[in-house]
Parts: sequence; structure tokens; C-alpha cells
Amino acid sequence: MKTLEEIQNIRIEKRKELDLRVNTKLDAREKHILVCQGTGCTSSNSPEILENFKKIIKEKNIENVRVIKTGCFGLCAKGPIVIIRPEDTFYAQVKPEDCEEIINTHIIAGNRVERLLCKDIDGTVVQSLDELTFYKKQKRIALKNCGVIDPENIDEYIAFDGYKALEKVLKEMTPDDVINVIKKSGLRGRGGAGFPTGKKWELTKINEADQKYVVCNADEGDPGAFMDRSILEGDPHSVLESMMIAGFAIGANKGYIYVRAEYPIAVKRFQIAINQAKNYGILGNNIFGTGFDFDVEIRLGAGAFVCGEETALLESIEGKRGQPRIKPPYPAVQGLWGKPTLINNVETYANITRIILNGADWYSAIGTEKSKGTKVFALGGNVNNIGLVEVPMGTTLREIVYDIGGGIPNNREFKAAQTGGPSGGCIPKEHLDTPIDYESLKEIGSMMGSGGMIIMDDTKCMVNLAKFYLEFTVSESCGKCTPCRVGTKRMLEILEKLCNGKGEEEDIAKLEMLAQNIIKSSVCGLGQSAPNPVLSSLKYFKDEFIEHAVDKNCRTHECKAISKITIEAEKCKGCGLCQKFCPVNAIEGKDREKRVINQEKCIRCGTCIVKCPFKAIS
Amino acid sequence: MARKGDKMKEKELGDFTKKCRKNENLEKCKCRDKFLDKLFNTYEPIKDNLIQMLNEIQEHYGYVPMDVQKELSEFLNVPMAEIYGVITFYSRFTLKPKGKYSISVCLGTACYVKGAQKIMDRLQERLGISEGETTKDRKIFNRSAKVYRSMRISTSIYSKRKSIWKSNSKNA
Repeated sequence: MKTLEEIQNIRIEKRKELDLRVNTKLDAREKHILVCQGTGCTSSNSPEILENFKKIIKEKNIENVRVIKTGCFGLCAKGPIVIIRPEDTFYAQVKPEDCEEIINTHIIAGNRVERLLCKDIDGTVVQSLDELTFYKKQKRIALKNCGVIDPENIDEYIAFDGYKALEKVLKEMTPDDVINVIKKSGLRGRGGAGFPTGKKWELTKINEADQKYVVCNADEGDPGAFMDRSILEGDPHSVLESMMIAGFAIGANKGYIYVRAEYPIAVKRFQIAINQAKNYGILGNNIFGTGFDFDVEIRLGAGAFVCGEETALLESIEGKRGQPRIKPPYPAVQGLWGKPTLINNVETYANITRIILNGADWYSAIGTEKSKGTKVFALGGNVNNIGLVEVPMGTTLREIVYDIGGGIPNNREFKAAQTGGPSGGCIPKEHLDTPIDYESLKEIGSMMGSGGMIIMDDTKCMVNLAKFYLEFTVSESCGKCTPCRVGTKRMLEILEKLCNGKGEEEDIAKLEMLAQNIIKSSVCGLGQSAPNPVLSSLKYFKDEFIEHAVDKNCRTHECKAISKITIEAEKCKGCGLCQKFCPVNAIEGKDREKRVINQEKCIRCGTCIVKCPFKAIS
Repeated sequence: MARKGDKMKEKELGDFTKKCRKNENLEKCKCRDKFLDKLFNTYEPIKDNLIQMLNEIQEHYGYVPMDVQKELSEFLNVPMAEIYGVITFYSRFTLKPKGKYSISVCLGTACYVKGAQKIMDRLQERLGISEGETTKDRKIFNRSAKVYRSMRISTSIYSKRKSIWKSNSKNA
């Protein structure tokens, strides 16, 4: 147990010690080696790197050097990442055996290991973190502490203004004040739909009950998104603190965080955070001597996408099948065990402490008119800088793809970006300059979603992609209501027909009608948004659907059954190897003549593509 | 005001007991009673804890055995049918034993866009099993993890708790 004064002392003392993490100009005696321990880097051996550093430092008896595990730095494509502060040197793709060299050259001799320095997209060697174009247009608010502090050490969190917001709220503010600040900040739910957070808090507060609950939704279901995971792994205390602030504002003293069991590191770190906070007396009874009690418990999900829907999540916490409830009543009225419940997403919570500390005006100055603040995106797919980015609302897609993302690999052309995962839609090339906020994305047929952003180049087939998302929703549909259970299945069947060359032109109209009906008649958000990927690809890439249905051709060769394999006449030298290996004798031509594939006989096995020594067949 | 059972004993998650993978001889398994004792002591007999307990069982055995389901049903006073309903609803729980090694191929969007399906196809061809099946020697269990997402330059395969990065369809 620590008193408020003791915590304030920790904050001042630790901050002095850790100032070199944020202040690169500082002439510090110590050096900190930060090793990323997010899931991406962990899978490529970063724990071993951490151990190696510790071992070598111990062996060589080096003083004034500390090795710290941190959360995600964002640039996952370059992982495992090692950063040395205060000089901010950025080492990318470090291997465990490189540790010795880094210690010898950098720490002892004071020179940079040129070989391991990160290279920017244009090939220039980057000396420090700030020089990377990846970070230049980003504004880190929710991810502020990720990659700066050790997520398993509460003192480091306290040093960077941790639990200061809670102190301010408990000592100086009333619940109504808190709600007013959040309302004024314009923060909207980061889970996807964008409901104003302050409003949600107010609705939950006005419902009188003997017990209320605060729930954090960390069941990140979108295949292609990992923002919530990174926040929980890199800065678990900020989510915990914000849940307590929410509890104070709405009058709840019990919180649940629902995390996917697939995120073992996040679960572990959050549990550590809870235990540490309890030890310090920050979590528990009579917090800071103000009479406010709060307790948080982790609930593990068990692999069901629909549990990201708020009412399904509540069912799952209660130990039942995660099937959504009929709304209304909304969780703000009747939630967990029939009590008023506040449910917010991880990223929403991560913003709360910053808003309380810096004020509503500071926050509402960032972003666009209706969408305030920043949004974290998990950038992935065919883009050079894969990773986690946080940008102010209103940043255009072009800036994200070309400036932060570093463009498309292999000089290919941008085709579309997919946001919102299985509930969202695609954004084609002509909308690259759309500012990203809730309204404008909705207008062009996509949605903000939880933050997955997949970039696709021109080798991707949009029909196939729509099929991929529908396969996902079909397998994840809970089965409660018919439109979603049966309707999505029928849609998938039509798409499979198209991809297998058995489609007809009227199938496209059928698909559209079915999609509209599912949207109108499904019970929950999953069904209501499941046809979105299909509808938006139909809107912008209808020619590809028609091509699949009428010409029985897939221009990207992704749909194997209908892709036409052709021989490029200029590259073909007439060696005849392809002819020799073709199992169905579909290749025609004699001697040194250029060969041609008979499309009627061809079974698209792809053998000729592999056998051709001149790479003339595609 | 706190609900009964809200005060779950503090424990490190996933650090419950050593794993038991003697899938065939459950009755002979020595750790069975010990495991169940510990499980029933940790959790209170209320229905809310069902999913939590199933997670522990799945983690321990690699699947949810029938007789453990029966014990659980008595302990929590929940019908077997409801337990079955919950097990089949969540993809993490399985009714059949998984293999010794489990290969999960990430088919999340980012990996899919980079050709994860090709890796999946190739694995299935080599192992002679399809998605969700186990090889005859119970060594390898193949499943697609659609939402296992970790992104890197290339696609990822998750196997034996270590992931193999930058795989491509050739070295599968």
C-alpha cells in the first residue's frame, strides 16, 4: 500500500531517472536499451535478444546501462526492433547474435552499428527514430506510452503522469464534471460505430441501480487489426486507470475486461498491471482515501468474432453462448446481469486519461469537425511499412499509404484499401484523397471500423476478397437470426459460383438484393454489416464481377478455376518444355515455334508456369 | 454488493497446472483428480465461471473430455446440453484431442493478401489432412487461425509455440 504522497514521490524521482527516454538532447549518464516485446517481435525472437543483452552486460560488468522490455514501437515490419536512448538509435531486424556487437560497438566504443541501422523506404540510413518518414505524420496519443515504458512496471507508468488523471478526478472533480469534459472533447467510440463516448457515459449514469458495471471490450475480432492488442501489451495501466475513471463517473465499482484468449501476452501484462495496482492501493477499497472502491477482473474470450458485439460480449461474460440480445434495452439500461453497464473499446479508454490531464479543448483541437482526436490503424497488406500508425482524424488515405506506409512494394499500383474488416468496405483509387473520419468513410461505402487497414495492389482480385470476408462472417455468424445465418451463406455460394466460373450475369443482381435484405433484417451489428465488403466492392469494381460472371475470366489469376494461363509471345523461345509437361496436351505448337495454350483443354494446373525457364507463362 | 464469485482467487492465468496430453488413457491419468480438485477449489460453483473453467480444461487436456464435462455439469449445476452448446459455440474449445503439435496458419486479411492460402494448400497436400484434422500419428494438428494475426513482411505459420516467419509456399 502506498499513500498518495508516496506515489507523487515515485512520480518525481522516477521521472528524473527516465527523462532520457523522451528527451533526446539530454546528456545522461545512463543508457537505456529498449527491446520491443510486442507479439510481432516476440515471435521473431525478441525475448532471446533481451536475455542476451542482460547476459552480456552482466558478464562484462558494464555500469549505467539498462535493458528494458517495452511495448510495440509500431514499425512491425522492421522487427525485432532495438532502440537505444537517449540518442534514439533505431536498430531494425536485430538477431540474438547481434547483441554482442551492439554492446561492443555502441555502448562501449560509442559508435553506431551501421549494418543494423534501419533503412528508410528510399534507402537512406536512418540515424534516429524521428528521421523515419513512418513517424513524421503520426501523432501519438493513445499509443503515447507504447515503446517508451516497461509495461510490466507500474513505477515507470507513474513516472509518465500515470494515475495522475485518476487522482485529479477523485480529488477535484464530480462525476458530472468528468462526463462534461469527455462530452466536450468530442471523443467517439473507437470500436467502429463512433457513438459519442460522453453521451454513453451520461446515459449509463442517469440509470439508477444498486450495482453498475464498467466493461472494456478487448475482443478484437477484425482479422487484420491489432491495435487493442498493442495498447494492452504496451500500456496496460492506462486502460486500467481509464476504466476506474469511467467507474467513478457512472457510479460503478466493478469492472470487467473481456480479452481474447488468443492474446496471451496482453492477458498476462494486464493481470500484472492489476496486481501491481492492488499492491499500491490504487485498485481496491477506499482509493487515495476518497472512499471510492473499484475492482477489475479479466474475462477470457474463447474465439468467437460475434463476442465483439456488445450484448454478445455480455452474454459471454455471464458464461453463456455469445449470442447478441435484442436492443433495446441497451446495455446502459440493462447490461451485465440486468444492471446498467458501460462498454467501451480499449482504444477509447486509452484516450480518456490524456483528455482528463490535458483538457477537452486540447483534444477537440485535433481532428475534423465531427471526428475529434486521433485514430490508430493497423496498416497491413501490400504496403512497405507494415505496422501500427496513429494519425489525427482527417488525414487522407494517400498520406497514410504513401507517406507513412512508404508506398506499395515492387512498384505496383494501388488498387484499394480495406477498412473496417468484415464489416467495412473498400476504398478505391479515386477516393485516395478522402479525409479519414467517421462520416466521410461512411459516405463512400466503407466504415471506420476498429482500425484494420489492408492495402491491396493490382494483383488482388476483389471478388475473391469479398469471398474471403464472407467466408469469415459465415463461419462466425452465431446462428441466432435467419437473415445472417442463411443469407450470408447464400451470398457466399453465389460468390463461389462466380469464382469457379459457373456464375451468370443475373447472379450479381441477386447478390445485391440479398445483401440489402440482410442489412435490413439482421438482429445485430454483425449481420447488419456483413454484406458491406460485397456491396462496396460491387460499387467500385463491378466490372470485375461482370468479368467473372460473363467472360469467365479473373484478370489477376487469383481465382484459379477461371484464370486464363497465357504465354507471352515475346518471351517464349519455343523450347517446348511446357508442352512436354502439360498433363492434358493443351499446349500447341511445333519445333522452335512459339507455343500457345488451348484454353478449352487447359485445366489450369500451373505446371507449365513452373517449368518455363524464361518465365514467359503467367 | 459484489456478486458471489466475483472474488475469484488471484492467480497467474495460464499457469494453472502442467499440461496433460495423455489423451487416450484419461482414466489412468494420475493428474486428473488433482487437476479437477484444484479447478473446483479455484472457482466458485456459479454458472458465470463456465467459460473460464472450460478455458482451463482446454488448456490442460488439449480438448474437453466427456467425463470432465460431466463433473463440470454437476459442479456448476448446469445441464450437459448447455455445456455442449457453449463448447461448440466457441472455436477455442474442441471435443476431440488435438495433435501433439499444432500448426496454425494465419489466414487473417494481411497474411491472406500475401498468399497464406497457398501455404495452407501446400501443407494440406504434404500432410494429407485437411483443415481442422489431425494426422494419424496424432502428431500434427492442422488448423487455420483466421484471427491469429501478427504481421510481418510475409505470412506466418504458428507451430510448436514458435512461429516460423517469412515462410512461403515452397518451404512449407
